[in-house]
Amino acid sequence: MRAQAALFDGILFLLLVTFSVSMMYAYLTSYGVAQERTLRSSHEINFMQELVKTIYSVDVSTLKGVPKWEADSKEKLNPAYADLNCSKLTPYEGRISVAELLKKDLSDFSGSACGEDTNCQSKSLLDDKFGESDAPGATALRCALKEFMKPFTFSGMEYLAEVENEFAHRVTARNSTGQEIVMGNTKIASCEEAANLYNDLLAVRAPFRIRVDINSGLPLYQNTPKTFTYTLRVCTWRKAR
Amino acid sequence: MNFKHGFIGPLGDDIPSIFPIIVGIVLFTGAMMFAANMVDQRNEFLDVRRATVALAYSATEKGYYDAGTFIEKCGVLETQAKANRVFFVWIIKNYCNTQIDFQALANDPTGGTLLDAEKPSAGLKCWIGGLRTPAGVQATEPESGVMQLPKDSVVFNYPIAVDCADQTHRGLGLMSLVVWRQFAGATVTPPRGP
Repeated sequence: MRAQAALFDGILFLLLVTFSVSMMYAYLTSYGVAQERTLRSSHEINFMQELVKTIYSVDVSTLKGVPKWEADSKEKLNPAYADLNCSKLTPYEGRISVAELLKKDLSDFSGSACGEDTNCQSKSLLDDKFGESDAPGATALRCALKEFMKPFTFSGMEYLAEVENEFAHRVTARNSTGQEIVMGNTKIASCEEAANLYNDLLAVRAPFRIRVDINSGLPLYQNTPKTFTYTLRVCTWRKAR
Repeated sequence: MNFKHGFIGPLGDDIPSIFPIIVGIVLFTGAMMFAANMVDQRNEFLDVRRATVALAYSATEKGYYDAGTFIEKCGVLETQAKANRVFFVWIIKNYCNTQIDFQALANDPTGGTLLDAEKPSAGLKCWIGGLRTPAGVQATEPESGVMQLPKDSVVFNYPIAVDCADQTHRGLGLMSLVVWRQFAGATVTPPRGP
């Protein structure tokens, strides 16, 4: 009888040990996970900030060779990538950075001229034009982002780049596919819309100003240059929810 | 004679319970040792990663580096690396007029492609560190193609603008920072520069 009681004690002790060991393993699996997530997030934000700094330095002429296919793709013409038409940047052989061409593209926007007409706003903001002449700022931005955002796109992340002016008129340069992003049945046209759907969205904003000579034909004393404030925003999020 | 059936003494009766108790003690001690080892490894990994983030924060101060600024910055990173007890390789690869082949870099198990600053064309490299070799610590940088990524290394890649070969344009570049833990007895005179 006593031996049975002792055996019961031993087995109970073993059960307690097993329980405490399983608790320990449960703790171990989550140990450092939050720290690692924070460090990864720091790295991703750092990456995005560096990306915005870089587009101020990269010359558009060096982007003319960005193809629509991926070097790593077995199918050289991956249908997921629309033709970004980066060869359009060939004529810009001088030291013109992506940011400079983007500003040129934006600088023909006359502010409130479009009123509430969103189509007009989109056309006049990033339309690859400065007045009637070519200024492919949106194309340059897309071509640069296609290359620079590869670590994110290969990791199953989606991204958007957009420019917002002081009148809150927003236009989206879209992602590298040049097409609208559709998640399920929802079209995502802005970083705000993405933020409403995905809680792990990361975004960087870079404000800049453009001084527009509105009455360039007039003498200097009659000329009143106007300064517009813009914000370039790049956001990224994980496709899978 | 006072005989009790099945009774083998006050200690003898507890013998059956000794086996589960010993198994329990061994299991618990083993699990504790394993857990301590896991926590140490995890802390080490997080510490190297934390150091990498700190170095990367300094390295990404600019969106463009010329050779002179790069060498200056290499010295700053060296000081930071020593404070964090890590070694590092900081490379700027030149992808002017071509596309960045991230998949090739990611699929290279030794990291030889990543560490070769001359591919696809001349780039910049700052190498501060020692590698473990059978002969001990190798203080000088191995020949291109021989160097391999240390096992515990952390690799961070960033976009950057670089001087193209014609020196008149700035094109696409890839800045890579490879960081690994300094080991005991490793005193190296680091080589620098492009």
